[in-house]
Amino acid sequence: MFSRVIRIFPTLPIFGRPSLTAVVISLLLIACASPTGSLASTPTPSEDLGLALGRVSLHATIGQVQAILGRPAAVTTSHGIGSPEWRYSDGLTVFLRDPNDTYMPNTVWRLTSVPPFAGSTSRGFHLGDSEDKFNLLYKGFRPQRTQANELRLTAERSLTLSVLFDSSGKAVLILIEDDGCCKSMSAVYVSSA
Amino acid sequence: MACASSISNFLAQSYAYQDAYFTTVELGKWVSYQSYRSPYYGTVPVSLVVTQWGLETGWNNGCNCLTTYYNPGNQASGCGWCVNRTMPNGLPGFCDLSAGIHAYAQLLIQGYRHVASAYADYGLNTAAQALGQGYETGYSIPNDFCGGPATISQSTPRIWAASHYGRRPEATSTIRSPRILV
Repeated sequence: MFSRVIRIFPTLPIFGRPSLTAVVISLLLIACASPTGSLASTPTPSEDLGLALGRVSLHATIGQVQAILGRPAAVTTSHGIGSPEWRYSDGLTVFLRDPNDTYMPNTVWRLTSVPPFAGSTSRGFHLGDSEDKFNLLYKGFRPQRTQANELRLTAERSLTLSVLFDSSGKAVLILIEDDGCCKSMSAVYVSSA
Repeated sequence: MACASSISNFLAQSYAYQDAYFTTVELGKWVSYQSYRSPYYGTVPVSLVVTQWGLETGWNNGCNCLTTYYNPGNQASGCGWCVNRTMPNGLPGFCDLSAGIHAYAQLLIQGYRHVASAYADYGLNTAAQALGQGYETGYSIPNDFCGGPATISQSTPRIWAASHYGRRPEATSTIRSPRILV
């Protein structure tokens, strides 16, 4: 450890050759500056939240979705977006970016599931599971109770996992999305509503 | 089919925001004004804005999209505006009224430029047709906001909803005069 600190601060002019005092100070500085330590177990990357719902994942291509799930029971368009929305008979809906979109065309940006969908999230949460199981599986995240029957996790800026529960506390809708295309606002003409 | 009273109630419905109240019509006027202020070609009329909201929400009978979730058009994406809830149908619920209305305005103005363009060229019926079919007949118009094709045209439409409301038979199309697109 000491040799590592010496390598990091090889020519500190104040101390000349690093003394024990310099090493101790350096260690304190490293400890103060590092975000690890007590926060080391806090997951934030998308890999920890997971991108999958059942057998498909966010960012998968349209070809990959079709190869895995086959043809959907219904093809429609997403409200307000007009991009493809594929609905499968098992309760899974796949939202795809427009083929002519300039940002990641023909890839999955949202997945939702309702009963009788039997698949799970990357961490094994299923429809019908309880809030307690959700909190256990996603321990370390900080779920927001955004409304009485919803828990929501956000990783990075645009990746979201939401679960709606029914009155008995069982999950009835799972949603995972990466709405990253739209996070940079460009214009608000008059700010007051 | 909505009756006249439900339409009237919808238009007069008020929504609280920061100790003030706004009716549906007032919010529609604000969106229309934003389209007027924008650097793009054309304005979206108030009547089309509130009619589209009414159709999307079942005139407040089928969905509390606007009253509870601040999502006036049943938008599938927040398009960068604050979203913190999920509607029962899986679509986004906005953080507050301002976020939802701003999102709708910006999406309609920048993402659906063919609607304002059609209104400027040929009036309300053509604007409604453009919204329903996803393009302005005879024109190719850039789209630069929140998903959808880079160019909105007959071959690459941007449709609001699968019902394609407002679409009229092609046989009723009128002859177009040429226009330089921006």
